[in-house]
Amino acid sequence: MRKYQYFLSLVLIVFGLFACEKINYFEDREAISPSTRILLHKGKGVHPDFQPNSLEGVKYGLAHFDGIEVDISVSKEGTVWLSHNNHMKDKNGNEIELFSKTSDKTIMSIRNEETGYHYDKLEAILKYMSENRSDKFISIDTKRPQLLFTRNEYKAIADAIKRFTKKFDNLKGCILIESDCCYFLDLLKDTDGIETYYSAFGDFDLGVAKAYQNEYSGIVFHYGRKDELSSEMIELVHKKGLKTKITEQLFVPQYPVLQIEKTYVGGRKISISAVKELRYKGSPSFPCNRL
Amino acid sequence: MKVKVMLCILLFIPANVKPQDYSRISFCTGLGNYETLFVGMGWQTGQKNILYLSVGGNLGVSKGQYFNITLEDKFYLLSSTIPRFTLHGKLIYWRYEDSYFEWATLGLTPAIGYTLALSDKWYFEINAGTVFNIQLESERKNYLRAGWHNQTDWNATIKVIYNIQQREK
Repeated sequence: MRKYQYFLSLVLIVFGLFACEKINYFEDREAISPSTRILLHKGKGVHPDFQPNSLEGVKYGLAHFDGIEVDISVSKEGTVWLSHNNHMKDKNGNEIELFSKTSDKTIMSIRNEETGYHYDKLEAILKYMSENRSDKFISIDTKRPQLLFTRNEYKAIADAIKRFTKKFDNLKGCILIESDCCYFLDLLKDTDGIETYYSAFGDFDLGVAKAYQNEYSGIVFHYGRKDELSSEMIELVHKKGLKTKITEQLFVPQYPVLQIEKTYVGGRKISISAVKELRYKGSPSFPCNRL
Repeated sequence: MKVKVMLCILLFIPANVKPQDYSRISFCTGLGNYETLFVGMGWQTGQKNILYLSVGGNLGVSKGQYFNITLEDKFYLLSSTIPRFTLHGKLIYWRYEDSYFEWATLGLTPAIGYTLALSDKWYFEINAGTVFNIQLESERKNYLRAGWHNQTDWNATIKVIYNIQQREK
């Protein structure tokens, strides 16, 4: 009889565990309402006169917008360079070697006198910003580092960014780091003056989950891949204490830097004057905080 | 992800599914925090191996609607003829729907267990392990809440087994 009582108790306990939540719903945090800011992709947008991820392009972007986004890679010595790809290209644009296996001396030697093609260091960009545009923002993208970088390379990049943040003290609060690698973001999330963003690409819920659970500043969201964008989504993110960096392409014929393919403001087209207005007013009908 | 796939493969290596002369069929039912209330069948695929396939649901006990299909490989460490400790590898496909989301997830679960013979035909089993959940798909219904499935979770199961034929002594 006693044996059956034990058995029955066990059954009831396990049955009670049916109620265990399989889904973890996140509690609201102190809501935020950041203003909209526009950052130019690869420093220069689609402007034809500048090389992407170059100091010249960055100067252009910083002069006309709230800030810039740049892509980075790391050399053999651990120096952080601007590059969209992890493969080095020679002066004719042919891929030659992994960035991480190339010395700084070799990278510096690559320069096409005709086209001006070359590589710039991240430090040079931050130095320029610190001296000339310390009110602007820079978003540093590591381009899916878990596929490209080893842990030592992540560490080298994170150490360099921390060093730069300390060196260019007036840029604190203006440096945003975006990545889909939590290991890398974790190295930087507690650094004073740096904001960290989890790159969710098209998966909104994954992005919110990673950013919330790991206590990052926000998410980077590319709408239209898996999920579309709506103002409700942005409001939800803000309720969780997170910011949103949205990748958008804009095109205005009279202003070749921007390219509008699609807008999330009720389908209406955005003119350059509207963009400028949004930059200064942070209109709630344009619910991204960074572009 | 690669680690989880490797784990999944490792879990089912002992299965070694081959038709055997001594194959036995059993029915099972039980409770688990991922299998919930389930019924299923077992096939003895080797002297130390039994494969179970079961379906379960929460029958409305918890808030949302929950359903799962579980494929389980039970491996006797010593012999299947006497009560012994067992190793388990489970693939738990589960779906959960509430007023905010619909989730479909695959749980990879290594577990250890103990099987007790109550009689020649009746067995009682208990096992426990860790679930590593991989999201397969999710569908958001509204923007009222944000959440995510538990990436790792515990799993415990009690199971009553009825062998249609007695095991060979």
